Amino acid sequence: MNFDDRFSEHLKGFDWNNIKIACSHDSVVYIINNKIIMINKMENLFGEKIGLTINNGMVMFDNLVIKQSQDQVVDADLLAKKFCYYNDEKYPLKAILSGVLLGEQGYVLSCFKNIDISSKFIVSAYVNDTLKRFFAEIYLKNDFENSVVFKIINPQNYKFQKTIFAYQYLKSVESEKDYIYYYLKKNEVNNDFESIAVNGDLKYDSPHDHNVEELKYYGHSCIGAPVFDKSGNILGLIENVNESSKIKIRNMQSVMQILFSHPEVYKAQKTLSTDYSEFNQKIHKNLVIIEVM
Amino acid sequence: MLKAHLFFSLIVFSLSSKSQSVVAKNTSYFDKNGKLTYVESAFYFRQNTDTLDYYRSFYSDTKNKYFEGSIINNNDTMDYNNKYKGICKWYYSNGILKVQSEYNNVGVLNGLKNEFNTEGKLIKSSVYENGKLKDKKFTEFNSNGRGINVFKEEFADNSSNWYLNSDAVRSSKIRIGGLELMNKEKNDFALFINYKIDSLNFSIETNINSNYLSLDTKAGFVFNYKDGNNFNYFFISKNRVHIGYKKTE
Repeated sequence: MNFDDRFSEHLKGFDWNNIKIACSHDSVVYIINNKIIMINKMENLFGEKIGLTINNGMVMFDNLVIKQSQDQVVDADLLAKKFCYYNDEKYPLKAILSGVLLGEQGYVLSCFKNIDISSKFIVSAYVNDTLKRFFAEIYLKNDFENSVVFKIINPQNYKFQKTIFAYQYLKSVESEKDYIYYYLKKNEVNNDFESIAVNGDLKYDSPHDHNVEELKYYGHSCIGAPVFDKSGNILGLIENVNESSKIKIRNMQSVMQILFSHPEVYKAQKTLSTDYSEFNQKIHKNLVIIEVM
Repeated sequence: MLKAHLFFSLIVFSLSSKSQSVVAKNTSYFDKNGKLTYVESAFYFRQNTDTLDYYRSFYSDTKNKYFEGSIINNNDTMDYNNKYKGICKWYYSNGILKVQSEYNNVGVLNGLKNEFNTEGKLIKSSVYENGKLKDKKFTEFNSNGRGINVFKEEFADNSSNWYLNSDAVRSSKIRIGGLELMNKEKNDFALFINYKIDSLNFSIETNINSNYLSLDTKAGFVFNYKDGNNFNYFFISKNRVHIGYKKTE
């Protein structure tokens, strides 16, 4: 039985790859090159053997390392980070992403490579001035554009923040040359979320801050963050970030292709361009954090 | 009588001054990498002692102890290339013991090696036999002082008794660089390690050279393996991961 069989961006095609599992009683964390790729319930608890395997080809192994605790969890710091909680329920955490609200109805736009539809999603979005957490489901997705729209499950019928940005077809990162992207970062001292604004240009070299723990275990949570021009027009989404913080942006024109055919989503974000001073003060309320479980 | 006493005193003085010249401290200065350098750029300096081949080194800035122990191939230009004998100790610049190792008479690790953090807490303990880690095992200690048993196979030899074999379809060889496995068939060929996991808290990791992998090849490890129908697996191919388990019980 397979849990998972998929493309992984963490694998190096022509180099050594480190694969690792860390187990604690009933759960197992799967890690490739120091990035957690999956957490699952441990099966076959009574099997004891460990083996290196090859199927249909040739391979070279090096440095097999097996650790077992004398009386407590191996990699305790790693395993402590693996769960998130919602309504007192514990969920294994795979990734943290950013996104942007597309209107009061709770549609959320993000960028997500190879999204696993069996995953669960928790979206933290502003209701008035408070960041609240909601379950969300995939509403639309386009694997070619790596784009996804979530719909927040909102039984209490909270009204989400109005979008304060606009979209203009002719504007893009290339046409504007300068841009700003925004995402929410957890403050490591008081655990509050703060809005991070990062200026960028066409070199796409963009050093930016993250919560150290998030970065260590889940990578750049700014993936999916919206990119704006200085008049508050959305230009795209952060699609990828490499180890030296070089960003890749998915242009909004291509993302809009998945929205055009769904007027309920498209209309939700179609507002007029706003005053930039107001935009800069309020844009954080359109930002969301997406926890993938 | 007075003359005789004076004569005796002179003899004692001359002998003692002669013996002082024998044990006069020679000081050599080294950089961070153990290469001989000038006083001004030295990271530490080394002095001999009254005991043959026994040395003490000190940090240049703090003058705290850097090293103490026997060096059997004392070479002034390459302190990093020393061969040690008996129990040797290295220290952090704050004076806390960093490493204590035991060597045999030919200068290879033989006995207990303990490593400490800058606060003096034991972080790693290993036993060596003739320069090799005994049974490829050592113990790490976390910040709470709890022990973690570590087995580390670098495939430098086959002392772990891997099943090495070669035929037209499957082969397993230890080569420079690691363990090479080959299987021409589309099924799992596994080599099991003679190492038992007793704890429910454990980790397993290995490095896989992807240069060898094709798109259809799956390589990785199985764990919690009971038999061919009950095991967990973590495989990779060129750009995909395969994670799961087989369970029939």
